[in-house]
Amino acid sequence: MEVNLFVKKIKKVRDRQRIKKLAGKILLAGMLMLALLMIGLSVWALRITSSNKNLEQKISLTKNKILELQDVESKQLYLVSKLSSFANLLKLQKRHQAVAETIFNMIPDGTTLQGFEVNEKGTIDLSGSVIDWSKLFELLRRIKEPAAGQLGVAQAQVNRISFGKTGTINFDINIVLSGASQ
Amino acid sequence: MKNKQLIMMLGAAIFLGIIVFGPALANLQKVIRVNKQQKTELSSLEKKLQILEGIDKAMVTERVTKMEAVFPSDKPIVELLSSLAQLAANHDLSFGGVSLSPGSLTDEKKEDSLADLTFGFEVGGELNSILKFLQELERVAPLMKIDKVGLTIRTLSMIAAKINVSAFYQPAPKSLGKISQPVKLLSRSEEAILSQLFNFTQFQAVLPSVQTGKTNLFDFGQ
Repeated sequence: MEVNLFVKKIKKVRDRQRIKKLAGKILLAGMLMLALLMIGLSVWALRITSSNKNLEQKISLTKNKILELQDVESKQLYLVSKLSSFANLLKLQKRHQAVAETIFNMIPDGTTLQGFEVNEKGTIDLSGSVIDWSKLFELLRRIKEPAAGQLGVAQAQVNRISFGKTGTINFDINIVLSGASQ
Repeated sequence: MKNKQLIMMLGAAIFLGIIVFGPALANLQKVIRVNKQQKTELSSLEKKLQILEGIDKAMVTERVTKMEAVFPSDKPIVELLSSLAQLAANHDLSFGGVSLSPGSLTDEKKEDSLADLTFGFEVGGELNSILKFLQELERVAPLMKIDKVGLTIRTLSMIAAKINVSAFYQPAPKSLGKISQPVKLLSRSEEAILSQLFNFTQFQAVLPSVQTGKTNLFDFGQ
């Protein structure tokens, strides 16, 4: 009967060899996988680079088309840039027209207007002369009760009433119309 | 020996991985970023092109011409005097006594800032004509606002009115900006405001028509 004293050792060596072989295979497979991954990444990068070139061409083409329409763009930009100020001026003008209309409607026939000025606070300085007392009373009545559809009077102050050399009556009145300020 | 080979191979694989994959991944990341940027840029440019193609050329030109007449980009001295003289003539009024201070002839104002030009003048004639003149004054191009009115009776039928007005102007933008900058379309309310431009009466002003030098994109003339 033969007794092998190295059985255990041989088995250990064989196991180690097997593990080494397996590790080698795994490493090889891993490297192969990495190589494939590398190829995949390169193909992907190439495709994206090609897509970028296409996009670049499209961008260039679109930019050229936009440049051809530069005239329209500059006109549109011009209109947009002026629109806000123009809208504010229109509002200001409408308010101003309403003030002027109200003042002209207040003045009775036979009145000479020497000054009509709207200051920054919205106060209207109205000065002039009327031919007689009845016209002055009519003017004061119209200031007190403006005609329908006109701006209302928020405040009115008679600064001066005096007689002129020719019998005319001079007046100087400050008026604040509601909605006339700004 | 085999163990050493295995370790060396593993080391080589990791080293190669870092050397090769590092730049490859960085390059891929870069091209992806560029791709995204280009897609965004193309999208905004296409949108802008679509908007520009949708704008009615004739209408925008007409509006700009009218805007330039009503709310000019430069001090409207010639146009103003011409309009006032013609409006006065339409109402059989004498026109004169113009006093204006045009101020600086250079563009001292900031871009897009509103500016005004104040001046005074005198008209003479019948009271009704003067009142009609005053009513129409603020509906005449270029846009102006009456600041002060003084009426003086010279004879029973002859009245002189001293009028101070402010005319407004605003310099046009100096450049279009970046090509990728979007174009703003007008809203309905803004369209309505623009339509009011056509309510202003415009008188023909005599102006030199020869243009020399570099082309100004915002010089639309009148």
